[in-house]
Amino acid sequence: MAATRRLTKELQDIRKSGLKVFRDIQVDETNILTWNGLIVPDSAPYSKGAFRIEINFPAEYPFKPPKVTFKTRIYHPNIDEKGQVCLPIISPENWKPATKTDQVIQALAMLVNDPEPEHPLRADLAEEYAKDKKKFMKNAEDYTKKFSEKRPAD
Amino acid sequence: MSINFCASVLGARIHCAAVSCDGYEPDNLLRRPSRGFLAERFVRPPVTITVTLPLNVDVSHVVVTTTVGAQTTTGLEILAAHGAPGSPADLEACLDGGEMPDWRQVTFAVVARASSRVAESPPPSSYVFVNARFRETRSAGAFGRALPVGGTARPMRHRDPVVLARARHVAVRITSTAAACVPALGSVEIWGQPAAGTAMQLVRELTTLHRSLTLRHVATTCSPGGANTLAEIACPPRDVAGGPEPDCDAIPPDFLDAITFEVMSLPVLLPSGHTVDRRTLERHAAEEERWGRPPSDPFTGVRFSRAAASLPNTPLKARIDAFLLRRPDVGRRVGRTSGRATHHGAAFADCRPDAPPTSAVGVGIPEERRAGRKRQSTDDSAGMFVYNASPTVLRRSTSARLLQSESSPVTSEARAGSGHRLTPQQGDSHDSCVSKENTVRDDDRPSLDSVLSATLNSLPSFRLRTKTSEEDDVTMCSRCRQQSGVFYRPPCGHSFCRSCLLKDKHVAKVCDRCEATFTAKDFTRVHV
Repeated sequence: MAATRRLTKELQDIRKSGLKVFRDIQVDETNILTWNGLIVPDSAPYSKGAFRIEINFPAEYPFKPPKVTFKTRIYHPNIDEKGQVCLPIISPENWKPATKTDQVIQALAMLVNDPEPEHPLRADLAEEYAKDKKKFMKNAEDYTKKFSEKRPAD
Repeated sequence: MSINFCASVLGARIHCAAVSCDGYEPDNLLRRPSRGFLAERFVRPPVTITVTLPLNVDVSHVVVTTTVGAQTTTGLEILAAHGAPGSPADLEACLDGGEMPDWRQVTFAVVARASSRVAESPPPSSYVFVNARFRETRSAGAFGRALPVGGTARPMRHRDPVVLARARHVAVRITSTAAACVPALGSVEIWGQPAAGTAMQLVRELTTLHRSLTLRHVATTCSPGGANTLAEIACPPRDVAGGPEPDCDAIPPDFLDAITFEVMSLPVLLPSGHTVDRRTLERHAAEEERWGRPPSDPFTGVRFSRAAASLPNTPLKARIDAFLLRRPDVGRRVGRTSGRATHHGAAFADCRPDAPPTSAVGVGIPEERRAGRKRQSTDDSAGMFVYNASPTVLRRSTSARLLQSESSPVTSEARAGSGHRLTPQQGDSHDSCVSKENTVRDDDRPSLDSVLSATLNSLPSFRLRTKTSEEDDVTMCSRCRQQSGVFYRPPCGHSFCRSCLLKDKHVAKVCDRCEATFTAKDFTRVHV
């Protein structure tokens, strides 16, 4: 399978470089197409927790983009209740096979840190973010405290 | 344990009438570890390799490995011929060989056959042909009998027991190979004991030799490089089947596709400076087409154009090929880019320097080129040649073409118009090649070029079909210079289209080119 070699290489590189925002990478030995890991945002209101994500690579990777889903609930205008994310870099029409997974993760971490209320998946949160930021921050912080996972120690 | 008599140290001889590849001579099969035998690529089965043994051997089993790198043999026959009774008196005489009986004088009998059906995939990489009648004799009790594990077992028998019990010649005949493979044999081992009737002294000496070799083998296998040639014959059969090479030299990173990280079979240099495999590019183009977009650089997303097109990376291809020859274990995973495999061949034919990478999906090819491709299948083979070409050959073809275009500007113009011979892009890529070379050796250019062109001008070019003015006459009306499928041709050989002939009945009887006059009957209808 074409994807295996590329994914093995990418996984090696990511583990070697030690991404700060993406920790605790777990990959099943038998299925390298599914990665699990913790997104560790560093800006409020998510800086108190860590969020587990799953990256699913299609068999046609790198010609088709991977899919990223949040396994931890998060109060975020660009991430819906099911954990789906709207990330332009991995949308099928924008996907470039040369894009590396660490770029995808960086883009995801940036989106988590800086929500984009212009392209929301949850319109109510986007509106709250735009109109009443203070309330949004408080809600998001509560949500993070309630649902997010423990941040890995450095 | 029996002895492998197929070893040069025991005085065995090997012969094969077929031409072998350099470095893959049949003599390899007498050595351990065996590099294997490969026939030259034009050789087709059957290929027979004959081993003449130093003494009559009671054959226990024959082990044949059928693969060398990616080359796979699928059908095998084992033949044997018995020798006259009697044997060399002692070990010296045996190793010396002396008067070896000529294998051409004897009659071989087929003792075993093996062939893998198409459904059986992959074909077994080794066969063990077992002689069920083999019984170890008391005198040779020290040899014992141990069949190798692994390999597909096949019986070996003949109605005349003496053929295998007193075999002097054993032949392996390759009857079929896998698709696009040359006849190949990884190794041949003929295990057995000295035949009944062998001089007692020789048997005794062989026994002691075998024992000492076994001990020596244990001692030498630990020390690399200290391989004693005598130790080879004591190797257990599975040991020598050619295990994977130690991964001491890893694959150089620039041989890997920048996107899939596979070893490239047809490296292509992108405008962005990265090198990817041709297949990756085609795959990317197919994905882009699903979104209705023209093919583009997978790194930058910039569309391919004449100024920014992908080019075959010939020097890298040469380096990869050289590497793959040294590392058949890697080569097995990489697609074949030459030879007869049809789908790879098709991919290769596309890989012309002039072809934009879109050719596989047919997007963005100028209309006239696409039409031209259908008609000019011979051009594809010319393209294959250009990809393979060494700089000198490339230059040769280019000079020939430049000359051509200089000498007959009219035809070159017509050619560009008809569009399927020499596209400007093709010319450009070659020109850049030449100019690069010219800057390197600027001092000797005028003399060399003039000599070269003078020589080449006098030679017919078989490599690249260039269109001559005669050919133009064949496909073009002599009067209106228009192409058409149907012409009317007078005996002088020039062509006229129907409309020109009908336009002016009086003038039509005179050929414009050679001014010969004809009657209406002289014209024959020709379909081009």
